Amino acid sequence: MNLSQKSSHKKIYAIIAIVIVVVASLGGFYYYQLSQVPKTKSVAVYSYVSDFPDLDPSSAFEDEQVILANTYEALVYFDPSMTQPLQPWLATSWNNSADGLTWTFHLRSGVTFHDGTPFNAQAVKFTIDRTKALGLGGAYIWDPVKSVNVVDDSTVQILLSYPAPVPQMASSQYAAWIISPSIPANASDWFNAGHDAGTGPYMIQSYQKGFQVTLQQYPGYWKGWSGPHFDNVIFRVDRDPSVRLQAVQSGDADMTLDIPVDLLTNIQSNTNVVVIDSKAYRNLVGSINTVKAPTDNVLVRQAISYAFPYKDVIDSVWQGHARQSTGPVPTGMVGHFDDLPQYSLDLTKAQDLLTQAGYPNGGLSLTLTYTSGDQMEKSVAELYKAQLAKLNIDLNIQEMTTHAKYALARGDPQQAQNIILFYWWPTYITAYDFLFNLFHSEKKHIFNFSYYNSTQYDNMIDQASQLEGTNPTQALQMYKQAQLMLIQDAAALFIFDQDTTIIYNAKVHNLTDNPAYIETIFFYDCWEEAPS
Amino acid sequence: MPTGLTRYIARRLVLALFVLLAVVTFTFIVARVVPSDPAELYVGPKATAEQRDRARIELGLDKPLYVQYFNYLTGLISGNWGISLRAKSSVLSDILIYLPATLEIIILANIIAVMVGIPLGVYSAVKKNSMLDQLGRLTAISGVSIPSFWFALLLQLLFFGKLHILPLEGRLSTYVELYYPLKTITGFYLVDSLLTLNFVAFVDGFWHLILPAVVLATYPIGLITRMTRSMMIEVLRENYIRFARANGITERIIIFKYALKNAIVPTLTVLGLSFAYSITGAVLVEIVFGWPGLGTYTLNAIIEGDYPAILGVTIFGTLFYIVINLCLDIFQSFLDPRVRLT
Amino acid sequence: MCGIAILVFFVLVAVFAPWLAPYPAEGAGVPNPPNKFLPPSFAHPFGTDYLGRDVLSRVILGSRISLVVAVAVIALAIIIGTPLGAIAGYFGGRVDDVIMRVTDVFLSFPSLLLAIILLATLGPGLTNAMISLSLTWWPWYTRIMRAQTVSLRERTYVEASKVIGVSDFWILIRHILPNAITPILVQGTMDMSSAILAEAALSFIGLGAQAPSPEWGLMVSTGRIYILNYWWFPTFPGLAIFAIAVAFNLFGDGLREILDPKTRRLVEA
Repeated sequence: MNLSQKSSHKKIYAIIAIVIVVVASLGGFYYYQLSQVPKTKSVAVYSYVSDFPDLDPSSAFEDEQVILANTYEALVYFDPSMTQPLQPWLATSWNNSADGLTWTFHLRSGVTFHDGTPFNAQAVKFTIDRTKALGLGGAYIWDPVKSVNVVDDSTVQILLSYPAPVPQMASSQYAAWIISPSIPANASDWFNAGHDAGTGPYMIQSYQKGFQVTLQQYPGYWKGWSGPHFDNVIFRVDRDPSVRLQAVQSGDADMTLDIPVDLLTNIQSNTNVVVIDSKAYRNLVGSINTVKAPTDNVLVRQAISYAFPYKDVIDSVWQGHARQSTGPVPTGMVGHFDDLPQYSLDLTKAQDLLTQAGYPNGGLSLTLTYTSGDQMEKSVAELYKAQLAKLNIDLNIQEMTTHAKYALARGDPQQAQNIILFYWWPTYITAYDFLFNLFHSEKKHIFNFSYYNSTQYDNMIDQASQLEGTNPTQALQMYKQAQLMLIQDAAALFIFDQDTTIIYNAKVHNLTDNPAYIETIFFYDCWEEAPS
Repeated sequence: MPTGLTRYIARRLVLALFVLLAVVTFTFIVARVVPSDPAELYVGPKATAEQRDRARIELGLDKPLYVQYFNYLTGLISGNWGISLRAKSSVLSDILIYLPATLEIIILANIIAVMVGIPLGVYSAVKKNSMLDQLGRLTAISGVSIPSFWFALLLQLLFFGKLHILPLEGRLSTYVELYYPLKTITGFYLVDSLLTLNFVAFVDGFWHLILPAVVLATYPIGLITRMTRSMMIEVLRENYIRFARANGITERIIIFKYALKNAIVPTLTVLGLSFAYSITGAVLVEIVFGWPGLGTYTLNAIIEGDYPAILGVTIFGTLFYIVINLCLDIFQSFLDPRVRLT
Repeated sequence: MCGIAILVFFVLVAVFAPWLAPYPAEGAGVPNPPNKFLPPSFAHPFGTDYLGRDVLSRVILGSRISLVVAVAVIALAIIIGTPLGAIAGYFGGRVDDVIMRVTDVFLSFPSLLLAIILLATLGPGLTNAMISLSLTWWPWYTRIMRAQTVSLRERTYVEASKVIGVSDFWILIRHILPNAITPILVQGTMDMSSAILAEAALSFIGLGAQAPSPEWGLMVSTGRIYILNYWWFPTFPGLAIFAIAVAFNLFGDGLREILDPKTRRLVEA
C-alpha cells in the first residue's frame, strides 16, 4: 500500500465516524425533546383495524360508526343493559298512532350542530330525506318511511307506508346520524375531505385519509364539559393486529380491539393494560347452498352440520372468547333464544344421515369460501376440512377477498360455493336484520347465500317485523319459530357468537362496550388519569 | 445534437406512447373481464337492486364497451381517472396523496443501495478473492435471494421486539403527531419537516424510514454490487488499464477515472431496473411496516375489487416505469453512442 | 460448487419429503389443535403453528411446491418465449416488429403488478399464480433468443443451408436453437430463484397458494402477525425460501462462469 491509499483509508474512517456522531446526536436530541414535553392534553389514541372509506353519515356503511358515533348523534340511543333499551338521545320521547303508521318524536332543545346552527325538526327531516335520496349504505332502513313532517321546531312526525319499529331504526349505527341542513350541496366530497356536521361531543380536527382521524372537543356540546374528559381522540389505522397490540402495550395507543386471541395469551401479566370481554352482536355464519347438489338435500346439510368441530373452534381457536351459536341471532341480542336446538360434533350421526341421503361411503366434493386476511376464518375452514375428510367428503376451501366472495355467491347458485363463511351484525337491533337479510327469499341475490326460499318463512318474519313496534312479545315468538325452521332445515352452519375484546390502557376509566354500536367507544363517557 | 440522438429519442418516445396505449387497453379489458359487479361495491353490500341499477347508470356501466373505453381514454388525458368505488373520491388525487410516502422509501432505498453497492462492488473487484471480495459476493447473492417480506419481519423482531430501538411501523409516532404536528407541503415528511423547521418530526420521520428503506434496498444492493463488481473486473482486465498501470498511474486514479466511468453505463441500467423493481417491492414492504403509501393503496384496491383504483394505479405504475426507462435509455444513449443503433 | 450442493440437498428433501417429515399428516395440513404454538423443542425442532402442526414437516413438504414452481414457471416461460424470439430474430421485418412490440408492452408492466392483475382475473391459487408468473416472464426469453438468433443467422453454415434448400423451420431447430440455448439456460437457472421469490410474494399477498397448503410464502404470510409472539412460525419457512433462492443463484452464477463468460453482456443488457 502506498501513502495515498493509506490516507484514503483514513478518510473513509473519518467519514464513518462523522456519520455515527451525527446520527447519535440527532437521536439524542430527539429523545430529549420527547421527554421534555409536558402532557398538557388528555388524548385517547384508538388503534383501529381498518380505514374509513366513507365519512358521509348518510352512506357510511363499513366501520365509520366508530368515528361517527362520537361526532354525531341519533334520535334514539340503544342501550341493551337497560330493561328498556330504547333511550332518549336527540329525541326526548316518542309515541305512535294506534295503527302504527305515524310516529311522533319530541326533540331535545338547546342542542346545536358544530357550526352553531340549532338542532330542530327540520334537521331530522333533512337527514332522513337526504339519506333516502342518496340510497346508499344503510339507507334501506328508511324504506318503510313515506314522509317526514315538521310539526314545529321540536316535534317531528314520521309517516310510514307499513308498520315498522321506528325508534329502533332511529337508533341505528348506520344511516341514522342527524346531519345539519347547512351542509353544501353534493356534500359527499365535503364529508370525505374531513368535515363533519353533527351534534356530537367531538368534531373532526384533522383528517389524514387512509390512516388517521383526529377529533377535538366541541365546546357547545349540550351535555357540557364539566368533569374529566378527553381533549382529543385520535383514530389511527393499524391493520396489523400485532402492531395494534404492541401499540397498546407500549403506551403508544390507549385502546384497541380485533386482536387474534393467540396474541393475548400473556396479556394478563401486563398490569399496564386492561382486557374486557363483552358479548358482541356479531356471529360467524356458514350459509349452506340449498339449491346446489349435494347440499340441496336437507339430510346432507344436517349431516355436515353434525360434522362441524364446534368445540375445537370455541376452545382452541377462540379460547373461550366466543360461544357456539344457537340459531342465527347472536347471544345477548333480543331475539336470541338459548333453548333452540344446537348441532354438535357427532360423526356417527353424520354418517347415519349421509347413508339415509344415499351416500353411505361419502364420496362428496364440496367447496367452502372464506375471507382472505381473516385468520380465524382460515382456522375454522381448515379444522372443518379435516373433520369432513373423516367422512370421506372432500372440502375444497377457497380463500377469497370479501368482494370476490360475495360476487361469486351472488351469481348463479349452481356455480357458487356450497358453504360460505361470513360475519354478520345488525344495522339496528332487531332479529329481523339477521332473519331477513340472510334467509328471506330474494329475486336478486344480496345476502341470502343459502338461497333459502320458503314462503312460510318469509311470511312469518315479515309479519313479525310489522308487529315489532306495537306487539314485541308476539313478534319475538314468531322470530323464534322462524329460527327453529332454519335450524331444522340446516340452512346454515350456525358457528359462533363472538366477543368484543377490548384491550386498553389501565389509566383509562369508564370504558364500556355497547354491542349495539359495534367496536364503538363513546369517548365522552370515559377519561384518563392524569399522569403523576 | 449528436448524430442520431434526436431520432433515437423520437423513436423511443413514439414507442413509449404506443406501449402506454396498449397497457391502458389491456388493463381496461382485464378490469371489465373480472367477474364482479362494480356498481355493487359503490352502493354497498346491503343496497337494494334499484339502488344498484341506479348506480350502474351513474357509473356509466350501461353504455356499450367501446363507448366506456373511449370515455375512459379521454378521461385519462384530461385528468379524470375515475372515482374510487370504495372511497368515492378521485382516483388520481388519491394516488397523488399516497405517492410521496412510497417515493420516500424508494428514493432512500436506492440511495442506500448505490452508496453501499458501488463501493462494495468496486473494492470487491479490486481486491479480488480477498475477504472483502467474499463479503461483496455474499452481499450480491443474499441481496437478490432474500425474500423482502421475511427480512422485514426479522428486522422488526430484532430492532423493535428485542432491542426496542426502532419503531414498529408507520411514518411518525403518535407522540410526535400530537405535540409536533407536521404540516404536509410536499408529502415527503423529511422535506416538509425541514421546510417547517420541525426537527423533532424530521428525526422521528427518519427513524421510521430506516427499516423500510433498508429492506427495500436489499435487492438493489445485490444487483448493483454484482453488476459493479463484474463490470469492474472486466474493465480492469482491459489492455488500456494494463498500459496505464505499466506507465505508473496510481491505482486510485485508475479505478476512479478510467474503470469506474466505463462501469457506470451498465450500472445505470441496473439502477433503472432496480428503481422499477422498487415499485413492486414497495407493496410487500408497505404491508409489513403499515406504510400508508401507494403499495397499501393498490393492495386494498385489489382486495376490494375497486376497479377504477386498480386501473389508475396500474397505469400510473406503468407510466412511472416507462418514464424511468425512457430517461435511462436516453441518458445511456447520450453516454454511449452505440446504443442509438438498437 | 456450493450452489449445486444445496440444490441437490433440496431436491433430495423434496423427493423424499413424506418419509423425511416427522409428522407427514400434519405436514400436509391435518390440524392438531391441542399442540398450538409450541416453541422449538426436540420433538418439534421448528415448533408448531396456529393449528398445532409441526412446522418442520410443513417446511419439508413445502419444498416440493417450491421446486415445482421454480421449474414449471421458468419452463413455461421459456417454452412460450423462445420460439417467439427465434421467429422474430430469424424472419425479421414485420414479424419481428410485431413480436418485439408485444414483448415491450409486457415488459413495461411492473411485473408483480401484472401478475396481480392477471390473478385478479383468473382467481387466486397456486396453478393460476404459476401461469400468471410465466406470462410475465416469457418476454425476457424472447429478447434473449432474438438477440442470439440475429447474431447466428449471419453465420456461414446457416447461409449454406439456405442455399441448399433446407427449410427455415429445420434451420431453426437444427442450427439456431442448439447454439442459442446456452444463455437461455443460464438465465433460466438464475430466474428460478426469482420465480420462487415472486411466487412466495404472491402467496404472501394472498393470491398464490391457499390454505392448508404447506407453501413457504403462505406460511410466512399467515405467520406475519405472530412474529413478535411466536417467532418460529414465520421465520423457518422464510429461511427456507432464502436458502433455496441462494442455491439457485449460486448454481446459475457458476453455470454462467462455466458455460460462456462472453454471453454475460448479452444477458445483462
